[in-house]
Amino acid sequence: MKSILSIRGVRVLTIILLSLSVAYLLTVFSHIDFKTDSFFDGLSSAFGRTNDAFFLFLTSPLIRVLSGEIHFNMMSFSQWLNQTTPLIFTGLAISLVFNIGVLNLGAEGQMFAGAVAGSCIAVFTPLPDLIHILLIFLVSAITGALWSVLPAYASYKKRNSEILVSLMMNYLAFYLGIYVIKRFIRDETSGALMSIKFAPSSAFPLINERYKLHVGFIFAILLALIVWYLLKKTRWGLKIKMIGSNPQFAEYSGIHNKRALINVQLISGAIAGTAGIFELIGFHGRFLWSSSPGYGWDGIIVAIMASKNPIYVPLSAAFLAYIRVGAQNMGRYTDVSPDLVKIIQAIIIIFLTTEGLFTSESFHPSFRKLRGHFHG
Amino acid sequence: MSLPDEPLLQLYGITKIYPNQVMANDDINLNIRKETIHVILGENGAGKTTLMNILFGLIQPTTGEMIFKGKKACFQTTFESIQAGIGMIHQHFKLVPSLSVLENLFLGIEPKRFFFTNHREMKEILNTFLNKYDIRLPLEKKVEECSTATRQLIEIIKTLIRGADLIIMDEPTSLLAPQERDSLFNIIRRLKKDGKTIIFITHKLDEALSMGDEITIMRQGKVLNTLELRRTHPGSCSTNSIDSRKKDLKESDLIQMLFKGEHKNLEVEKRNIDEEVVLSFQGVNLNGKTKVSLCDVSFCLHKGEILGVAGLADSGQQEIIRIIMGYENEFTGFFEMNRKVIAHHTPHKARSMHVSYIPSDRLSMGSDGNLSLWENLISTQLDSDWVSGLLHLKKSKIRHYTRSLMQHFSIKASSSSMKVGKLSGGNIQKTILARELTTKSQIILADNPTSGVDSESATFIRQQLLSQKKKGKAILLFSHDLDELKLLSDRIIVLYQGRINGEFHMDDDVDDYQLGKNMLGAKTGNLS
Repeated sequence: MKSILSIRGVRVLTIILLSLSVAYLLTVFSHIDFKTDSFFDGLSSAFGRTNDAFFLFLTSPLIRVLSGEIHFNMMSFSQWLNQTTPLIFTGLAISLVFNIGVLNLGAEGQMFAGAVAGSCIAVFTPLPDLIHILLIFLVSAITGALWSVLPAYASYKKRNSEILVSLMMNYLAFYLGIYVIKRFIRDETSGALMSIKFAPSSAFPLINERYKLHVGFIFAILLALIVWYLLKKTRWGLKIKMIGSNPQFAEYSGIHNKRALINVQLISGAIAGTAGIFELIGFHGRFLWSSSPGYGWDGIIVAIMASKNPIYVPLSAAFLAYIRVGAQNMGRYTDVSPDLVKIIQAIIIIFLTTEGLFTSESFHPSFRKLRGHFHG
Repeated sequence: MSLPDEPLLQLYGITKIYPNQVMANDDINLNIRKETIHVILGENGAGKTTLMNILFGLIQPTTGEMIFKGKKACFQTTFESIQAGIGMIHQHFKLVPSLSVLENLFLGIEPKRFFFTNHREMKEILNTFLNKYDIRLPLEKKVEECSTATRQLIEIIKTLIRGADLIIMDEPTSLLAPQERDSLFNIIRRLKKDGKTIIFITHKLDEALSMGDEITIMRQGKVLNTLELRRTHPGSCSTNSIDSRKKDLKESDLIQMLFKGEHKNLEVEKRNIDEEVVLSFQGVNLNGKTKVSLCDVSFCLHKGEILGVAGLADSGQQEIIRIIMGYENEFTGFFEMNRKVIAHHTPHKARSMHVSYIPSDRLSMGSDGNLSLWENLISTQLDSDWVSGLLHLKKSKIRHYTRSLMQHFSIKASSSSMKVGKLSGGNIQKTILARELTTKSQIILADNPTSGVDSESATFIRQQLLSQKKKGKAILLFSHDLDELKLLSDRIIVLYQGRINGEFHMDDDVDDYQLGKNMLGAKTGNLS
């Protein structure tokens, strides 16, 4: 038992199963009808309804059962892949900064700022197709990187000061972004806050026209492979690993800690900056977020689940997107609230992070510091 | 005066096996009599400290029995052992640096008046002890401002206040100057006269012979023998008697067995005076945030020499290292390395100028326990071309390099990807040494490279330093072990409170006490 559980993947799977079962029991409990004559009838009907809901929850992103026949559910499948894409990007961004041991939690703001800047380009510039798309990505990435400059500088000056700065930058990105949309590219004819339609040249290639499945996830997986290669196979990656593991040792060894610290945070910002724009140019065709979609925060969950290893980021992003799409469907067709997925997420995060507190391979250096305090 | 024969503490069959299957103590039987100084002699790693930690209740023995004051004792916590009357002075003092001396002395047992600590009562209690042993302590000073010797006194008084009858001292002399050591010995003798029993742990034969009423020799977790030395004149011991005793004992097989490895195979060649200076400090001052400020430090390090730096703890050694390694930039004065004046220095630049550094902090600075052996071994060479191609690391070359280093420095590990944290202390130090000595570096800083390592590894490390010197490298050796400094160095400079207080050439005979005087601030020494 001990040897199996020492494999990280097995532990994560166990945690996922545990959280699913907790969610299941909660749903059963909430469905017990105490007004029925027999408690056991109520219980069995609660189980029945929960089973139906969970079947939908767990299978609907892939299959659909229509009058006893099983069909492939293309709509939910497209949704699933489309939702996975931004999560992979922000997950990669966060796992990069976690690898070097800084807590730059600014992916949310970087994502939003990048999306806003990309939208401006998408609206205004009439350019040849491919060049237009490339320019949008470039501008998004640069904006994301710029949004990371201040936290990076903070961490350069004093370690751990980047946490607060990066969190505040998220608010700045949101409100400034909304202002830019309202002031410059708002669609005046629409009642809701949204931008005017993007230029046709900015349209992203689609795999499935009907459900607007765009090619973003392919780029995301490619990027995950590149980041993995950089971190695990190059000397740059080894330096980052050393700094993340023990900055004092890295500096003593003659590694330019601070330079790497800045580099990594800028790259992370650039990756996070492009996370949101896929959805806008691929799916919606205009900027229509009046509240942030929260992909930056989700990136933290993804990175923690992937134990900050880029190769696992697509997997854990896909998992998160899967349960979300499943929960949406469940909410649409049954009386179980899709907010159930938040409970599952929360339990997974609690288990994963507390595990870091108590095992030897702790997740983040600051946890190690914390543990040091406890043990005197 | 004959020894009182009543035993205070008896140990029967104490065995300690650590979770990693290391047997630290193997069936130890010991009899400690009342009002004696009982020396436990053995090299590093012989299991002395483990045994004492068992006595003090810090760790639990696997098997075995302990009888203290005629009653069976089994201390689960240090609280119980302190209650029973045992006091322990650890090698690394357990004091709170930011509290005052008085607060440290009464920490946990403060006399209270209403809700406040009663300073007057504290001082009254304290004065009885201080007067009895004629000790002066700066009570209001913070512990972090006190010298090592004072801290040790604080520790001793602390055990006395808590009513200890048996005082365990773990390597108490390792950080003291010879003069301070002598005054410590006097206090220990007075304690004994006062009816206390002392267990004195050391790895130095001379100390054992001059202090002990009984000497227990430990090796590899076992008690080899207990020798009884009866004093002819209690309280005083002339050098003659020590020498004659030493002679007697040195001839015994036991001592030879214990110390046969020491200083063997060490061929110390005097340097052929190569005048090329590779590193020089001229009038370097450092003021400000550091613990010690340097004042007008000037010295130069030649190619092919070992320059020893002696001094009490915190006399400015760390500050000199930090300047050379580029951690500290805000100094004034003239610092030259490889004929270049250094102004804006960083650890990165120091490494690219081929400076090697063996730090005293092995676990958090010198190595990273979470990283594998090969990562630890190449960490300083990541920027060299052989490590990495345009993109990816040259794994096979690295593996080859790691394996050859493991062989050459006899690092015992199952594979090159083993985590360094799982290696033994001696092997970690060898890993650091392998990394720092197998480079093109011209300057090597070694900060207490042999402290806390077993004698076999220590000899190996000294040999390596000497062979580096032979290759023409310049070594700056910081050490608290005067014997080691005298053995290895060509010259010794003495640091005292951030300034250089004396320089000794090893061609002349250098006396420990002369060195000690300079370490304590006296303005003498053959400055030349």
